[in-house]
Amino acid sequence: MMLSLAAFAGSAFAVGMFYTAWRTQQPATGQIMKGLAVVLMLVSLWLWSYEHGPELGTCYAVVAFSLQAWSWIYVARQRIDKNIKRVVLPFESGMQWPGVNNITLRLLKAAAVIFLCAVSAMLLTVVWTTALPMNKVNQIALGIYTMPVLWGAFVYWLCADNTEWRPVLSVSLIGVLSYLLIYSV
Amino acid sequence: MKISISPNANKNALKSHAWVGLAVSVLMYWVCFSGALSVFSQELLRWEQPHVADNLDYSPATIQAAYEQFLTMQGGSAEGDIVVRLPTQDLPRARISADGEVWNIAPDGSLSEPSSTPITDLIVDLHVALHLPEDTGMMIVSMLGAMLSALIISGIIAHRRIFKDAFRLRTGNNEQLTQGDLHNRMSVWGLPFHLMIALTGVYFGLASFLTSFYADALYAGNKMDLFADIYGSSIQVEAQPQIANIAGALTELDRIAPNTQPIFVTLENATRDSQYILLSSQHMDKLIYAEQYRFDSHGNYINKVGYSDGKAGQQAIFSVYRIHFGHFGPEAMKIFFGLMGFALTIISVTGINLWLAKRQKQDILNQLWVGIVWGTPIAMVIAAIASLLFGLATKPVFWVILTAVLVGALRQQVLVKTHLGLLKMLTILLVILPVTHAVVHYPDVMVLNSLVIDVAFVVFAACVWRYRDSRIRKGWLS
Repeated sequence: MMLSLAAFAGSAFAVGMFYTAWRTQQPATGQIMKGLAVVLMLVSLWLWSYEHGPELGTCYAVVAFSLQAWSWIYVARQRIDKNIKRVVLPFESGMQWPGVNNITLRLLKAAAVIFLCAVSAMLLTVVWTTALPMNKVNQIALGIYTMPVLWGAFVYWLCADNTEWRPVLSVSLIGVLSYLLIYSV
Repeated sequence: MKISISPNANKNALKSHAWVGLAVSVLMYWVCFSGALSVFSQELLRWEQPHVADNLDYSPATIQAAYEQFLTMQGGSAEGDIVVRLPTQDLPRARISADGEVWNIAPDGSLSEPSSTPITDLIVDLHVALHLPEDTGMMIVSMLGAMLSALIISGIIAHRRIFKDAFRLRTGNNEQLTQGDLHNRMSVWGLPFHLMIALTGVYFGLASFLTSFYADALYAGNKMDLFADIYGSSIQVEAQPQIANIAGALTELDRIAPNTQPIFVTLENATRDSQYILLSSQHMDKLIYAEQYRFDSHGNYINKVGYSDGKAGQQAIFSVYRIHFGHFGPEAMKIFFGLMGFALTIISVTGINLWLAKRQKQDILNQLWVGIVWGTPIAMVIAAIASLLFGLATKPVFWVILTAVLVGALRQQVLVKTHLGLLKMLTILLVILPVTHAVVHYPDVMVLNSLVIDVAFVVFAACVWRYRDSRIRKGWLS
């Protein structure tokens, strides 16, 4: 119990130091504070893990740190009461529907986001994880936990790139190559 | 070392963030909101049936008696497995289920009454499958997990001032500024949690697709071999008695794994010759859901599946549930997870609010969004009240009310009126719900769990009212 309290206090101090570093005008002091904050965070993580084991300890450390940071931000909030006149925008009845071409394009994009990115992410995940020198179960677990990140990255690329065919083509190519690697080797 | 993102990359990331965010907006909001509530599903379940006695002290003999009574009621056979949920600190009630029937077990081992939790089911089923058929719904919800990770990636790249604004929260008259700061601060400082929710969320509905590819790559297409490696291979027993000796197995478990918390008794291949007992017991220092100890129907120990001391990957896979729902550690952890879930809900809402505000116009999209955001809790509370008072099915009531709120919102052209009206309605309903619950269940309601939840509803009502009041003070009605 005492170690948990110490860990909680440690991460609270770490958040406080991050805040001080963020506020200070002197870069050198800021760097030192940030360094100390990181050390405190690690000490806090170690204390949590020592008391509750590495699995539960890490979860407690992450949750405590997020909640402390949010609380700190709330306490340190700036109230700006400028006399801003609230603009009430006029209501526009009806809807401006996009044209058929636009809708088709968006639907295709959605399909690519859901299906193409998913399948390619899964196939690529299988390829890269099975290439690692681990036993099968660990490879699968690693894949289960990292595949959504890869899928998310593909989706991000597909929606961010100005030239839409480029990510579609690339992600498709990645999918095809991964498929060939899995099923032809 | 200075990390910087080019303005162009930043602009594109923002575009991607907006596109994905808008595409999943409503579904993401429903899943996050119901997910935050689902963290407390066990408490809600007890709140719905406060007259069922909480009891942590059970003996193997009472569980055996309940099982035998249940089996007799089922005519001595069961189509699927028979599952007994043993009382634990977070759900101090024993229940037995098979073939879609669930009964509460009284402290003396008799079956007290069927378990009926329509309000909890409404919330949990919305989170798990959006009230759709389970397979389809779970797949869609899991896809949202992947979209959440896309939003996290694009959000980080889009946020140029991630360090500069690390602690900035500006409140006051400028609503858009406040919402932007809330959205960014909650996202950044809760990032590890949000990412973990996204990654584990994908597992529930889509892991089977990924494991199919793994089966092809590593097990020559044999999925059963893959499952055996991860979840343990099934065992073969023959000529087992029809009535299993659960009491014997529970007593034996106490000797084999004394520092664990038994949580489930599953009778695999129930009532058949190949029936055996699977005892799931939680290791309190680990995140795995439970270790599974296998016994034959006579109650003789066979072996354990081996999650608790298995490979790291096996433990990681079996930890997904508890990481996702925060069902580990002390009760306070649930409250923390609930708060984090609500933060994710606020992030979903403020994100769309910001996009709507940037359009510099108001149309039916604004009305619909306000209707969805406040109509969802309104519909949930009305469904709960209707269930408590008249025993009406919660899901149809929920959807009818939500549709009515949306239609009402569309008929209103002044957004502020819709917004304030819905806030007022929600406040009133959040007071009516605990009062109704207290009246319907008096005097059984006078237990800590029910009282805390009823008071929590009143506190929520006060929060909504305060929020509404602050909007009025900001001149929304002028």
